[in-house]
Amino acid sequence: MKNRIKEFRARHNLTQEALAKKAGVRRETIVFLEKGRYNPSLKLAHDVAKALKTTIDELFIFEG
Amino acid sequence: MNRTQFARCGSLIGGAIGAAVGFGVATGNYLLIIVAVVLGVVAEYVCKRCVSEIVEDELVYRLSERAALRAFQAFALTAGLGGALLVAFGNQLPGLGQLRPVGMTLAFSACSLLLLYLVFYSYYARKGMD
Repeated sequence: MKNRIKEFRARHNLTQEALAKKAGVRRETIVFLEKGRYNPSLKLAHDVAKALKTTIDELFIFEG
Repeated sequence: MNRTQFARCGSLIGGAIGAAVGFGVATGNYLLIIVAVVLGVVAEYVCKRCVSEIVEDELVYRLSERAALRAFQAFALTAGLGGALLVAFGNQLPGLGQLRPVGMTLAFSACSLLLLYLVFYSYYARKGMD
């Protein structure tokens, strides 16, 4: 699953640390998500999307 | 307290417990070992409550789940097979003494772990995942 977290984060001028704080996770989790090395739970996807003022559909690109 | 300080605290507590357990074993003071372990667990819990940053999140839980499953599989397989082999041939190996009790211990450990796994699996299958 691909995502546009980095793009949205840059758009909102947020650091990984700031986004992590907003989403209630560790910075390492944001790093893993951005690199596509971790598929988040629905709750985390929702929290990250909310922190970036967007929707899960906009943020995550489901493949296959 | 931030995460770095918490990690340092954890290392210090771990070191202190290790030293106390080592001292307890060397002097035969087993009460000291129990007290040290209990105090260590309490100290770790108190430290964890003082951390203002997020220490654990769903990625940590997912990694722990996978690591625990792999550790469980590796131990159950090696202890089960090793135990069975030692039970079967432990007393026939020349120069190694009686290895059958070691095999029994390993085999029973593997069985206990499998049983525990079954109990927890049934519990969570009934309770559901939140």
